[in-house]
Amino acid sequence: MIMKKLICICTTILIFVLMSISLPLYGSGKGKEEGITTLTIWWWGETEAQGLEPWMNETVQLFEKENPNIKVEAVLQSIEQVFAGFQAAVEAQEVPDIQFFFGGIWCLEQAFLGNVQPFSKYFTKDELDHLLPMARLYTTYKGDIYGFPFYIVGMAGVYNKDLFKKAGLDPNKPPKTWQEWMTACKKLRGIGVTPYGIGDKDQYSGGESMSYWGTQMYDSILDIWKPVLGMEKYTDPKHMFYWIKLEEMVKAGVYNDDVSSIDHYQGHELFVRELAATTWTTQPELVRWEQQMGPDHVGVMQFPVAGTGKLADTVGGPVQVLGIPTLAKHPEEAALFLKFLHRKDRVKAMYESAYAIAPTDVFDPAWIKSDVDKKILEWIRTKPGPWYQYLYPTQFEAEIVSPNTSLVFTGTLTAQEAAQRCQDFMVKWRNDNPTLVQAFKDWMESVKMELGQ
Amino acid sequence: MYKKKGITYIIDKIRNLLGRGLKHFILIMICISILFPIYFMVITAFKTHDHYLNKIWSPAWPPVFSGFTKAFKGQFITWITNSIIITSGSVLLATFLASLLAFALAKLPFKGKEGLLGSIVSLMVVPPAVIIIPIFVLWSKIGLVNNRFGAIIVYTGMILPFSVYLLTNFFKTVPDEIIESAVIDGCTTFQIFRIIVLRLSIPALFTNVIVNTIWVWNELFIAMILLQSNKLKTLMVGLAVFKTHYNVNIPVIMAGLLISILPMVVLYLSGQNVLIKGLITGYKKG
Amino acid sequence: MRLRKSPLYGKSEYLWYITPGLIVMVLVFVYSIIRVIQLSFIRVAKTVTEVDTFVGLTNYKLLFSEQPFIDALKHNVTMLLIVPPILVLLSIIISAILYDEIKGWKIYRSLVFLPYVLAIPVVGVVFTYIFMKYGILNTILTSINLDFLALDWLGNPKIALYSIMIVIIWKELGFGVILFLARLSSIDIEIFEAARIDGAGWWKLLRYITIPQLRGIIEFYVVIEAITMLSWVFNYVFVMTAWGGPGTSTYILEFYIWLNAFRYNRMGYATASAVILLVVTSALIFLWLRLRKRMDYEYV
Repeated sequence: MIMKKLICICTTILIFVLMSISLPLYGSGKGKEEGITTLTIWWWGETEAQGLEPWMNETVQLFEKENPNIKVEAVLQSIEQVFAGFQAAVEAQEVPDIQFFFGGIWCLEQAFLGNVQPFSKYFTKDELDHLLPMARLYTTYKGDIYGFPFYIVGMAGVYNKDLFKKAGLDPNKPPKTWQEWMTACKKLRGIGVTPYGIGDKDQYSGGESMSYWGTQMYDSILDIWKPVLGMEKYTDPKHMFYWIKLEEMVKAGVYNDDVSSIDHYQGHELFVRELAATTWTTQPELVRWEQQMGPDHVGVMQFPVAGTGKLADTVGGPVQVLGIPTLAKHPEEAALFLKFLHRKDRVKAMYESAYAIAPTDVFDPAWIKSDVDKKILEWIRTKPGPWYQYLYPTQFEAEIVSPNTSLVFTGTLTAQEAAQRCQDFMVKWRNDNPTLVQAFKDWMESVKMELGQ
Repeated sequence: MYKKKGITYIIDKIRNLLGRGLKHFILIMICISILFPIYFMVITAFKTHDHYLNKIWSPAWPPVFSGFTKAFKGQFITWITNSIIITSGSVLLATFLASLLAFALAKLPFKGKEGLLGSIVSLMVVPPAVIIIPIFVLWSKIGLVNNRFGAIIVYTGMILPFSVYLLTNFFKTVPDEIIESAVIDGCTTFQIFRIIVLRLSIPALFTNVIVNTIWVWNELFIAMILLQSNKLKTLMVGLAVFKTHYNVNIPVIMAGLLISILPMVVLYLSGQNVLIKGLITGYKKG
Repeated sequence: MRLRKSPLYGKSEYLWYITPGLIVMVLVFVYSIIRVIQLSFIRVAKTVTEVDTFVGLTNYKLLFSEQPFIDALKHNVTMLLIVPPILVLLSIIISAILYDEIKGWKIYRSLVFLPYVLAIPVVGVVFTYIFMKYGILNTILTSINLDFLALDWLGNPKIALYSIMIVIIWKELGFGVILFLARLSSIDIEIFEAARIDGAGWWKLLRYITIPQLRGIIEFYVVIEAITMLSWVFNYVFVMTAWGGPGTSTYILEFYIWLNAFRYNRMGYATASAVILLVVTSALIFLWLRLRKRMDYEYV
């Protein structure tokens, strides 16, 4: 009895001691030093371009050395939190100095809402001219550019040459048309292999899939905004195209049958484990697999063309961006850091470390040794197309495209029903967000003028 | 007569054996279902990724520790430290405030006592989801977001109703005679408080501390929203970041998970008896 | 109340004791609840140029026309109706067995309560991997020829919610067992002895003695678990399905509230559903208290 009491008392005292030791740690945990500016960066990217984190750490070190009065705190976020964290930060009015955004609308919508300021106002025209034009489309609004291009994520597919050979397919000529693709899938199923390996439990595949073939019935990028603004309906055939083809592929067994129970990156793993013959994802990942498995065993392919619009045979080359929030405390230092990212040695290091290509003309194409990269960049150069998921309202993706894609995967929703849900949602969205509707209208108008239509 | 007794005796014996056998069987089945996920987590944590992909249900020998080294190379130490600070801060504060309240509710006479106790207890049903929105907005305005004090106050509030309930129940069982004799001896109310709380109620306090420690340590929702800065993340929130980092390397993730639950498991195993006894006394009213 | 008999009668220092704790609770709970109710009648400004406007019951009307919200509500109610009864049933059986104190019962008891102390984020992630379509559970089931049981636990929208319920039961069971065991051990052993002498077998004992004696604690446990099914299951869903998927098949009220408040920035929907959640939980408690009063009369 006494022993027990003693132990209890001792534990309590120990806890009190611990607590008082940590007393100076109470509070926000922020240190203040005179004369030194601390730059806060919230970013993401290590998951889709492995090797980016060590590169970032190295960049930070070099930057701090060259700018001794600036300290940089680069915080890598998880994919669920990178955007939600920013929203909460805006609400709390305590924002980082640089914030990562998935390309295009994720940054631009924040600009529409006034939460992000144009980084272009800290850059000279000369400096801006170095940025590749493809990067601008997605984040320019009323002449200002809001998203600093971080790295290109050209999206394409890899296919396993050995498995193709085994299934009786030409390993050097991947399927180009829809017919060829479906035939190839049947043959691959015949040898017991999943044609397209994908994981959708975390619901990140919807937007991506829609971007691969959702624009194939469109004639111009403007078609993307027509149903958003109510000029056309999502239940029109050319806008329903995505859902129809998705349903078709699901029914034909193109995908693995555990799509809904594995995560996005576990889906890619199926390709590496040779349980799936193809998978689609971002450039850096594709190049890494090419390295891992050898260029003789891995080839790159464009998404099969099924549509008949002018945009049918195009390849999207979206760009992940970094933005400077409006309430950032040190925007000039932030701009300085952004410029530093595009210094030639940093751009080279980024490619060598993570196979991520910085969208600047400073990047020397001679650095590219990989077949995959060469082909993808060629496609982006010769037949560029808009990347659907970075051009529609973000809530459309979060609330409709992603969850309903996962339902189509499990066979519980038809293409017709999905398209109807898109339409119903957009009507409500327009009602709820008049400011955003106006911004989209303006954006569409300015793009129209640029395209000369 | 004897023969009948003999047969019934044997039948009874068999019935007993079957009965006991059945009981053991049921318990073993239950224990297997309880242990299975834990077994899976433990053996996976000590494997390499390749081994996991190929032989999913057999343990690896010799055990591999790369998962654990990866975990500690990361920010686990920071996260664990933060969890310790937040947990100990809120649990100790709540226990202190709750004992004051419980003492008053159990032993001090005042109007509306029953009503107050009832309302406090009914607050136990309010989930974090409801209170977090206005708290977050208010905290942002006064700068308590990304601030340890802010989180500690919220946690303290969340665990107070349960603590008050538990401690009030216990204090009520302290016989009035002890108090009477103390009053006669000329003790002030505060001295009586000290006697009851610090000397007579150690088991109840201990239980309260353990139950609340487990709750706060394991909590994710509030920590995720109020402590976002990298330096302040608690262990549970950090696990999500950790998982993203090693997104397909399941053994490494399991190693991280194993580290996270270890403190609570140790706490539970060492304080088991007190914990169970305390919970029982707390809920005895039912 | 024995106010007059209380030895401390006459002292009015109670204020010193109740104020500090009350301040914290009023801040964290009362302020929040009032503010949430307030916000549910307002349309919050989304940009710097808009202003908060009073909109009456619009948020509620819109809310009930949202299928995801209805789904969330439906799911909570489903869990409410399925999980507590199963928990009670299993707890009764296990505690009755443990009460007989067969060999090694203390070890069984420790094990049964262990899941309760493990963090939900951890438990959830482990089960996520166990439940993969080609994960360990299904692998074992197919290898012992129970193929028909090897379902797509978290991937099939029709059963995803039930898979989560399995995890909840796994974790909450220990609590019930301990509670019931405690109550059993405080029952006069003579009642059992008398029944045994009268020739009652194990089953009869359970039905006519054990369960009636446990009535009070069963009721208490059901209420606690019912409230849990409404208000304390966010972590399970968030960790196991990330976005309440597939589709909206694992949406629950808390998740819906979080989604709208912190992801979609639709405060109106979030606060209105928070109010609905409060109303439903309060209604439950109210019903319980009413039932209790009535049963007390019956007893007498």
